[in-house]
Amino acid sequence: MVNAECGQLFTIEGIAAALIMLATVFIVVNTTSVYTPGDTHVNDMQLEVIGTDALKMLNTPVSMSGDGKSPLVRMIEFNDADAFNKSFSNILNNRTGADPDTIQFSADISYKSNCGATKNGVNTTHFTHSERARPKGGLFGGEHAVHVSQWIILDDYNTTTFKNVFPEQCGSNSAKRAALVEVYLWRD
Amino acid sequence: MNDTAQWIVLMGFVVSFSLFFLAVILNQSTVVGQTTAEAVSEFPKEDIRGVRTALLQSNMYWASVNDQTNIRLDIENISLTRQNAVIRIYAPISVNDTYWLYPIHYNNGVTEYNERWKFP
Amino acid sequence: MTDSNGNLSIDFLVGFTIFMIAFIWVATLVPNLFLGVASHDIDFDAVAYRTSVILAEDPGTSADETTPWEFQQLPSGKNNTKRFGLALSKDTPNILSLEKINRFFDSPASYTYPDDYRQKVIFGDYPYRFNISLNATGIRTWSVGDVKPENYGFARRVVKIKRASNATFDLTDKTKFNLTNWDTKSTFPGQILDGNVSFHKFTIEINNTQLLNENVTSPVTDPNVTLPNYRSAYQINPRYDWINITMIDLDKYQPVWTAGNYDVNLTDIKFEYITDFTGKDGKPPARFDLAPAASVPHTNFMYVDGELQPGKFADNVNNFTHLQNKQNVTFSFAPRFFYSAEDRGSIYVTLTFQTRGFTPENSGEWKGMHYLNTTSVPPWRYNYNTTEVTQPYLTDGVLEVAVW
Repeated sequence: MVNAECGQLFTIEGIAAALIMLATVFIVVNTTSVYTPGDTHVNDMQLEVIGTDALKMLNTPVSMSGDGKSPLVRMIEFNDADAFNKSFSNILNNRTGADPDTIQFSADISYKSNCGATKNGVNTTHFTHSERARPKGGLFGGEHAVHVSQWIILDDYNTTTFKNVFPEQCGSNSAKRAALVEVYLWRD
Repeated sequence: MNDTAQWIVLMGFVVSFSLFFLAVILNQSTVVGQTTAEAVSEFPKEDIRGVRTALLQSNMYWASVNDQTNIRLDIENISLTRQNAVIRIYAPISVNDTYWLYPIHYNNGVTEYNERWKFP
Repeated sequence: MTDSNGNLSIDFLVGFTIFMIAFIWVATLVPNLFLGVASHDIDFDAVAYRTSVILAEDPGTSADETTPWEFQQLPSGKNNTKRFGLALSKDTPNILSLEKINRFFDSPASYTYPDDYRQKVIFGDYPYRFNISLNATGIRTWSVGDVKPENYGFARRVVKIKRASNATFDLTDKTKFNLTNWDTKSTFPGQILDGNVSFHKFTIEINNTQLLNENVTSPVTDPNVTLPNYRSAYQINPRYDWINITMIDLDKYQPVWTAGNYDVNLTDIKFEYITDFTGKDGKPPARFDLAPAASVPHTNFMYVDGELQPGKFADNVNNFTHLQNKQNVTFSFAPRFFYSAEDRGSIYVTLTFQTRGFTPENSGEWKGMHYLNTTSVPPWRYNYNTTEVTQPYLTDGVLEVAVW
């Protein structure tokens, strides 16, 4: 005579095993994350590469005849924001086949202050921003921006010799100085 | 105790564990693309290149000592406050009177870079 | 009595069936785990970025130490290229060389798509398909590869391309090289007292030592802005760069007294080089004939009024002569034209002109006349002097790499 309870063990065990497997698969399928393209930071990296390239090329002299300065240094020494807007925007958005890209930017310059209350500290002043950026200083906080920078060497901070962009420098400092051009980039 | 039916539950457990294992591995693969891009962004290649070019440009033997010092201090200060990187360029070392070595040091907390640039 | 030892009990069957149903259901759900993961397109962007770095920032490697990859003879030297790279040198990232660009995009004549490119620039086990394109402002757009699909990994780099220097020699330059009256005090009979001779030798000097080692501007600009590690972007390297010399206003070089009736024949072009500037034992430094390099024969380098004078000069003398009614002459020396010279010393290009002018008033006969001559003055120099030579310059470009 078959023991009537032995058989039930099979059924219950089968159900138990089935429930275990179903529960596992439910948990696993629900927790494996789906990565959206934004999570992978690939777009950020691509934008940063384009930005550093563009800024570096703008800081390369076109040729060594003449004073041998790069276009970027000349534009900052003469505070020529329009020229910077035009050429930087052009370089950033140039593509081989298609229509131009839509990258916007906002540029600041950091320099070491040499007089006044902030003497020997580092000041940052806004240089310019692209056309379609908001009127007030360019960056309003809603963009997903990357940050690129480039070192330049200027002939002097003397705002009377050039018309450069440093508001807190005192005159009569005609030594060469270094400054950092920092640009925030985002896609519109 | 008759436990011949235990193997059904055992099979159930085997299947669950293998599913978990698979899921863990698959989860890692989606991170591959992300960590590659993050690694590229995190390594300060362009920062190091820019600092190096600026320092070498200013430190050539014909530049006035005043200019060299000013630019060096500017770069060290601005780099510390804006880029969170420690930069130091040391006095050039002359080798056999035939060439100079310019030691450059960069450290942003994650990446450290040391170089002795030979010129000419 | 029923013996059920060998049979399966019904309860076992029921339990087993429930298990199998659940197992089959789970097995069909598992492929959903793989939906978000396609093993190859997760790294298209990474491969594209890596390829763009190799092309834009690396100068490329050749297995043959003496010949850069862009100058390898094809097809025998094709496998000497270990890795492509378009940058001028490892110190000048993002500044590209035009010769490398032309050679890289020369498909299928030089390299076959996709195999050669996969081995030498894309790398990796998976057979990626790709499209690489370069748009140079003011030159053209190059492209190699397939048509891009909807979904691909992508990298874009901003680059500059180095353009060759060139020199223009015009009437004001010519007046510095007239062989004018000299030795007017000599009474030696038969001494030539004026520059009206029939044969003039005009030498152009390309000083390797100066071009490769000295300051890249002349007069020297503020040395603080010279970029010491970017030298190869602005220097003239005579053995590897284009050297272009154009002589214009040729129809004004003759003296006025010829009244337009004169002959000028370019009878010889000689290429020589020296390796030291000081000779031994008080003699001038030894001059060597500059033989053509293997892949760059000394042909097809001269243009008269825009027309190429084909062939080798020595074989086609008649084609090159008779410059009297021409406006301009251009000498275009391709990269490696002067390769057989060394990286020091100087290269000399000597032109020999045979000239004569008709003298209607005096004697009504032909006689020698002034023309370009450097026998009593230093040769004309192709160097970093910006008033004489347009220096190498950089133009913009965009490099895009798409991988799928």
